[in-house]
Amino acid sequence: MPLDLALEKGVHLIVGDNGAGKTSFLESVYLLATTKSFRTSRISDCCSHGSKNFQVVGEASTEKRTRLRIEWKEGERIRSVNGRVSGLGEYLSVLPIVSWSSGDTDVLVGPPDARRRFIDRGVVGLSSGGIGTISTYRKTLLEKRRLLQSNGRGLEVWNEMLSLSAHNLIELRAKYVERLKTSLKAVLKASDLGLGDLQVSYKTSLKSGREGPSAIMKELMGASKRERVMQLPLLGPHRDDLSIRLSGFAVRQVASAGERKALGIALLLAHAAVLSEVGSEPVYLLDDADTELDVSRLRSLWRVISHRQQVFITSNRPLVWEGLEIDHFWTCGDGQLNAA
Amino acid sequence: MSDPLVRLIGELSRLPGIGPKTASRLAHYVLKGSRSEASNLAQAITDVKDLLSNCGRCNAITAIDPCQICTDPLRDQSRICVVEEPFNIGPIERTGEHQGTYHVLLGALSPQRGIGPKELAVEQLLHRLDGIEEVILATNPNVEGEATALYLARILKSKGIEVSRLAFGMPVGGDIEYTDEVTLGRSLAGRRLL
Ligand SMILES: [Zn+2]
Repeated sequence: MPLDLALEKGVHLIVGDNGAGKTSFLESVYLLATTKSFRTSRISDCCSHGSKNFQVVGEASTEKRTRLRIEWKEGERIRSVNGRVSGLGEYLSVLPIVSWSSGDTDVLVGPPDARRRFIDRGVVGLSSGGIGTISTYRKTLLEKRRLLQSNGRGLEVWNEMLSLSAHNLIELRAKYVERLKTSLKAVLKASDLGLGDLQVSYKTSLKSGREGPSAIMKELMGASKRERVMQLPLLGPHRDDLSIRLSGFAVRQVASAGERKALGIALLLAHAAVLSEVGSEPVYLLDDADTELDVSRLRSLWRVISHRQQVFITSNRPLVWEGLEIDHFWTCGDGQLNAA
Repeated sequence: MSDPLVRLIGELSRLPGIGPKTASRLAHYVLKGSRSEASNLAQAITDVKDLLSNCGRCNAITAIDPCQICTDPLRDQSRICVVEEPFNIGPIERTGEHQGTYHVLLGALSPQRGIGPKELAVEQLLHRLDGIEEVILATNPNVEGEATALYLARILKSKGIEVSRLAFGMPVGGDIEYTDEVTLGRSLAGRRLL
């Protein structure tokens, strides 16, 4: 169903029952900004009622008005900026965005790949070369994996390639995590969540990760015997992790559902602060922001969020937001958003 | 034999970058044109296969073997510029920055596509090293091209040959096919020793 909306600055609260389409609205904003979906990894799942094509068009009003358009046409994703087909890097820089939905709790308690994706979103936001570095590493890794699966001959060249791109990626990740730590401290201080001591640190799979390409190369070659046996690349940034510990313990061991939610949003706010420092302030999307949060934690987070330029929050409990400063109220039902 | 038009469309759509729609448009264009235009096109296509082949020394596309560049006495025979494909030679020639000869590898290393050193014209290059002072590696600045350059640099340096790499001012992931002459000329002039 086509939906046409002008969305002003400030905090937008979108209220509606479960299944009313609140998340679909956030989804379309996220899709416009990132060309990806935050719920489903396959973009075709976004097409409603089995239709093959869809598009989201939007205009970002920053210093210059920029028109973004993402289109999904017969299995092909087409993105354009101001009517011109554009590269991913250029596209992503137009409308920086951060989002938190229920699945993102994986960053705190799930497998490491959720945390690597989280760090890499930071890498992309922090450095214009970030996308290129990540994609070069991935391509090189795929070639190496394939080599190990076939005869494993010529591994040295691919390890050397990998050591160069691994070095670049590790440096960018480390730089981002350092900034994230600083921002997180500030967010926790300003929000007063009372969560205890939260420690974030970057764990590289390579012991020599920070020592430069030749040290990385040596370590990779040292693992080659095992890698040939396993037929898998065992070392490198694709095995990195972000350690997130609360008062010295893994979040999954000590944090309640409410604490996880608060931690997750604090982490997101810290990430957003890093993006704001290097570029423009992102748009915030918080899906079901209030679930699992008690009123006092909600208010604590509110102290940080309410000053942001543009925030979209969905909730099915309108009452908990009473007394908080909301700029725009929307109700959601039957695939339509209505100003309330 | 099936419908000639259907056959032509089928053949055309096997060409890279030509979808069924374009193929149909091209086929109808040929059908509308004169008999001589059509036979010129057909002749040009078969001539390419009949009259041209890869140079036995450098693998460039040529009508006479060895090719003109390989046999040109005015060219610096001590400098070889290594490229992935025959069509990479033209753009480098147009920069006027390279006075030496070429060697076409006929591909780049890629385990994913099943291409290892044996699938490339590497041995052939190693047989050409007598009297060679410098090998310039002009493979593409993408993952496959960089890996190929690394691989060749290791072998060539172990044989005491000076190896240099184009100084690409373009992002990794590029392709020299799509690089303009000025940029390509600059990356040749500013090549760095490996
Ligand atoms: Zn030749």
